[in-house]
Amino acid sequence: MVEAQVEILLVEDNPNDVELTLHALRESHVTNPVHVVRDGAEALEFIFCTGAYASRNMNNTPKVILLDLKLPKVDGLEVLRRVKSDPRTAKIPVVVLTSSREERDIVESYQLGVNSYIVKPVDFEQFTAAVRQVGLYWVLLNQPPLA
Amino acid sequence: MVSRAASAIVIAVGGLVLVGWALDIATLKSVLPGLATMKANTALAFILAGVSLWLLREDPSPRPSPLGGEGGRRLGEGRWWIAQGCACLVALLGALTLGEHLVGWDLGIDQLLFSSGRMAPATALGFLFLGLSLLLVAREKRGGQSAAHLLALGGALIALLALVGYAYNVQSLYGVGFYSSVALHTAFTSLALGVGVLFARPNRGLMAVVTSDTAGGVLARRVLLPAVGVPVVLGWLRLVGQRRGFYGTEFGLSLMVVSAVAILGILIWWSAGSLYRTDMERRRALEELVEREARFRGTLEAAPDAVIIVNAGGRIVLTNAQTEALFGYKQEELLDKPLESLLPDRFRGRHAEHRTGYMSAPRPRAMGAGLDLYARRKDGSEFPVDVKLSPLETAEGTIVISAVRDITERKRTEQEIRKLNEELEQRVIERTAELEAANKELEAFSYSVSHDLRAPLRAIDGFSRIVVEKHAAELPADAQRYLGTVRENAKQMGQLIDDLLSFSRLGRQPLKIQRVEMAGLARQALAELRAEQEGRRVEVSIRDMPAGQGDPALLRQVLVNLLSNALKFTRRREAAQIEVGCRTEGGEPVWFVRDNGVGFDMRYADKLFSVFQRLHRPEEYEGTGVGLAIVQRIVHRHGGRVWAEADVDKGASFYFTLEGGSRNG
Repeated sequence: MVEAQVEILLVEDNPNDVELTLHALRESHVTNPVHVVRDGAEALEFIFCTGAYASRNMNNTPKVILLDLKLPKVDGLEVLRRVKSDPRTAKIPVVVLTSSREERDIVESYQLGVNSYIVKPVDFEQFTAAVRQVGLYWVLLNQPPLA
Repeated sequence: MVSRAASAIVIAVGGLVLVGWALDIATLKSVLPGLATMKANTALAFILAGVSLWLLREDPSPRPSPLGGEGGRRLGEGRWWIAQGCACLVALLGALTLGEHLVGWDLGIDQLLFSSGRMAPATALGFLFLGLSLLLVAREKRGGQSAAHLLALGGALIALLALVGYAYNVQSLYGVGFYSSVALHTAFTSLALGVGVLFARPNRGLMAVVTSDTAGGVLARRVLLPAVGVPVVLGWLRLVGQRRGFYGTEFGLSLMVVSAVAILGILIWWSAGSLYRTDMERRRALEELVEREARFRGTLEAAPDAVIIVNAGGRIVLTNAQTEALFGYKQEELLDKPLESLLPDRFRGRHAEHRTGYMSAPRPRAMGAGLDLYARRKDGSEFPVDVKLSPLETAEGTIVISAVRDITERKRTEQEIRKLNEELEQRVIERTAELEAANKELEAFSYSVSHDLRAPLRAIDGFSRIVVEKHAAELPADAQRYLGTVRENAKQMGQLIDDLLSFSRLGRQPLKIQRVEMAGLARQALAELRAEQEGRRVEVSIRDMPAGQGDPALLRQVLVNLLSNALKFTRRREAAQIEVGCRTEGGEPVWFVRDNGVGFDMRYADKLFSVFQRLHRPEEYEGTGVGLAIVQRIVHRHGGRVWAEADVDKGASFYFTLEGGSRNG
């Protein structure tokens, strides 16, 4: 059976933010398939095809991972570290999409090799704009290396 | 001197008389015709005695020179033997002649040189005395000198009697018996010889009293000679008067006695007076000395420290009661002991060295500055001390006064202070750790605020917006307006959270102080606020400004906030005028941001810089009331001041300074 191609992996525990993000993507006409995981542990299972996602094909990598930092179980920075330190997944673009404006979060994320760091605005227009730009840029515009 | 003169006279007289016998010159033999002659043996004895006395003279230097001093005696060995030999011969001659007179022998010695006859028995006795006296003088024994002086006196008195006889013209005295034929010059020469022997060793024996500078010496010198001379002279005067028939024997005697009493009495009274004065002076000096000694002693005893006085050899000369109390020794136990006996064994050797070093350049100082010094009690226990030294020059050489203080208590206090300090330090460390923990907690708190408080706001705003967009057709106009208000408030709250977070962050971030071009910073800030100038007439003039010392990011925040305020409160002006510049007040640069906006009432100026304090209604001018609080906090962290001047409707000016002011203006 042919697995559905996941192009955007959204790692976000807050259901409101999930809905708003999906809404914003829809509004921006980014219709690429999105998969939502609700904590860091599930994100790692999905990415490394373990646990509930053991049957997933490891080669079927998402085009971009939208990652919140404050997550249950395994936090966002840890997910980032695991993704970027594994050669199989290191090339997947990771965009941190978080409420945190803390300098140390920003610095550490970049040290771990994040591709982009975006602070979620409270203002919905600005939020929508940010999500739209991320979607357009990373999913449509960006050219990832082949396999 | 006297002794030398005497010996010279004696030798000369003896020699002349011998010449007289040899050449038969009567004048040399008997001085005056009809008087007894000096016999040849007498002349010989005078020469021998004179030589002995001459040889006995003391050398000018008190000790013999190394070259001539091998004899061990004060005189040269040869000289001494000759002197002794001569003296011995004189005594022998006197003794033998006396023997001839007493027993009636004829030993044939009287005609030895010339047939001049036998010398008088008085002369022979005189020679015996003087010969023995010369023998004893040369022996330099204690007690021997006194005996020698007594013998010499005896010889001199015998001669004096003969002389007095000549003076009084007493025939019976020199003409008969014992004194039969004592010649005039024999008597005189014997007297000279006796005096010479007395002065041979003037500082010893009986003469010691006479020549001393004591009161006794003074008295002896003043009284002795008159005591001899006055009766002789008075006796002669009495005799002359009596012979001329001025008065009878009884009256003459009375006159003489009274005169002698008067003259000697006056002399003695006069001498006693001067002795009395000398003695009183001496007593006063003594009393003064005693008093001074008592005062010194009192000072010594009153000293708070143990005072130990040490001589140049390091031996204890004097101590005080505190020394007894401190060290447990009695004062007399310490006298003449080396100072090192008050030290623990391990310091003794080194201390003796140090002491020698100190003595070579003594000056008042604290001993062993910076070193821990210890002393040792009689019972062997040790205690820490503080020692101060001061040298003193005295007649007996340098002495050193050392004041010793027991510092056990001070050491203990120091120890306690040190312990307290350590405890304090420990407490500071603990407190700092607590503070750091509290700080961490605060950080964690603001972190979670920044994360968790914003998410619900985003949801409120987001979903309100979706409702308005998706269901606009179904919603009445006021429902849409209400939803708009919900969104306004959500955004306002988001702004509040952001401002609060940055405000609290300001207190924690360390400052990165460097040189900051304020004009450039103002231009950057203005560019950041471009959105707020769109569609308005805004004239901003940024003047030349001195550079400041500060954290560029924070100072930029200051300028952004001030300029943002200026733009906000000039919104209703047709043409907003904003000026950024610097002026100097009291040598200190003061930067300012001035506008021609609505200004404010100076009565509320003190509220301006407090968090959440606003002077305008939100529907007039939006804002959170944090901007100026941030400005103030940044300026204060730089050690500067911030204040504002304004008039309602006439604009406002905000001033700030930075610590250290501008560098290279």
